[in-house]
Amino acid sequence: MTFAVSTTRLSRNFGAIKAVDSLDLRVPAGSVFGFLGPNGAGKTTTIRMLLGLIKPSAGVVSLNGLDLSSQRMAALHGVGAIVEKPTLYPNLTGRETLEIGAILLQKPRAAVLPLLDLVGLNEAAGRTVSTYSLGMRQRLALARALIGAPRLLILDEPTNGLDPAGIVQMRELIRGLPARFGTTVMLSSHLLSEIEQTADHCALIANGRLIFQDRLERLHARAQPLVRIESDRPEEAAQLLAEHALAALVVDGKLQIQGALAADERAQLLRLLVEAGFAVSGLSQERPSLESIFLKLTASPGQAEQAALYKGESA
Amino acid sequence: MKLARLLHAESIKLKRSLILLLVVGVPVMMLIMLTMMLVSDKSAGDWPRFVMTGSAIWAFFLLPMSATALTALLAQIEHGPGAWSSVLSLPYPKWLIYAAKAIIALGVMALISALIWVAIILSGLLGGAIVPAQALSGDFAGGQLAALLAKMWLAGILVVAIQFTIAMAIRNFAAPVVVGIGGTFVAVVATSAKIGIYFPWLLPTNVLASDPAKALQALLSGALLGTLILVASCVWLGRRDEI
Repeated sequence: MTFAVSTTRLSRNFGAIKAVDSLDLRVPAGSVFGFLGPNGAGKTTTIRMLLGLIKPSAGVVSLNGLDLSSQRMAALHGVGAIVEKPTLYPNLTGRETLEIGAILLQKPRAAVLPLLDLVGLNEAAGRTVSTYSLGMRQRLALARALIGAPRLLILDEPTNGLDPAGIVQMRELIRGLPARFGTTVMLSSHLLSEIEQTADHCALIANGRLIFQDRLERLHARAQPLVRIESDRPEEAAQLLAEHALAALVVDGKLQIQGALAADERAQLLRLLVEAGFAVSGLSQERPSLESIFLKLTASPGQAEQAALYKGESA
Repeated sequence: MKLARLLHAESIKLKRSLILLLVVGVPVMMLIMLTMMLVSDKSAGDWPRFVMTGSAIWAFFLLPMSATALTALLAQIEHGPGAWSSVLSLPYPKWLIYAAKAIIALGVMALISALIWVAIILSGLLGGAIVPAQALSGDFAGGQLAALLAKMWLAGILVVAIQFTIAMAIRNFAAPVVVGIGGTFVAVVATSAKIGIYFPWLLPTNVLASDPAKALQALLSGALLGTLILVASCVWLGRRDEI
């Protein structure tokens, strides 16, 4: 597998604070790669290092197989990016904004037109950017990032601040890029739902450390089902189940069994409890949402252990 | 050529910007001021003296203030959130990106200087046309004025370099403006001081010194030290982390 982005033990300290800590990112070429983490997790710092805007305290960055520190210009030549909320130049028109990109990246001015068309700004191309809505600015920034026909597109929170219609538009644009231009897209977000609807691969970071990296469905697979039983005297019921080799915990007054049970197993379980005289009022089998896994992975105290487990399993 | 492409891109960024207002506004201000001075003056002057007066006003006050406003406005184009990030992640050496901006700053200062030449000459002609008794006598001093303005531009490179560095390094618009205004007003006090010949904001004025050695010293120190600081500034800015 070839990687559009590859980092090895990438780290960045700000004084005593480790903003990014030994990050080994692997962004497969041709993928839409979601870079997830809560606010302050180190996503933007990582992206700034990937673009050569700040120097790593340690570690190596490789873009499209080229080492960023020794071949900065060649490595950045195949990269387009939107970092943070793009200001653009309010005094310039949409067309002029893209023409600047075309001049700098040695593309013909005619390359501007299909991009304006792609982002739906053909009609507004002659207006100054100061009159654009945030959604239009974001789409113009995307067109500007695409002007050099990049092999890798890095987008930092591209839907931040957009209204729902703008989010849908942006999401559809991003999703279509790999098939349309063969571009690898790496997008950061603190919203799992955003990544879920756009990406096929993802990485999760928290406190500067990588805690998961793989295909998105592997993250779904981490969602271990739970069986919850509502019964009277739950502690005694748990003891009974333990005697029958079923490990059950009592959480919030309910019995909780980790893992999936088949229909006949669930029926057998119910029969066992009812025949032992327990008043069972409910049984449900649930699969935790991706959101809850994300929260668990990024916020639980045993994060380091989980990180080791997840990284090990996904390798 | 990378620098040519950067300069082309930078020149497009100036479209409809406040910098254009500055380019036009400063010479217009000079035109109005000198014309009013000429028509209200009781004694008719001659072209060489008038040219000296006009260029002194430019060197002493308007040149440093223009350098301050220009570099601050130029930097503000990129100081918005995320703007520097998209510029500095381009496949160009970072120092060259800053160098292109520095060249644009010097180029715009040269353009304003050229328009100041037009403004001074025009005000001399206009004053004479409004009040014929005040028409300037003596030989037309266009060549003398052009030479003076060119020397002032060279001596002013140091002020441009200082203002450019502060404006590019500090996102806050107030910082370079305070330094620029401060420098210009301190220069008023420093004129009478011995050390005044070394004060960067006074170097363009010192080009007018009656002592040729002092004038040459101002010209050379402003141009050479200014160029050196500009180059060092571009390298330093290019090496900084863009946080």
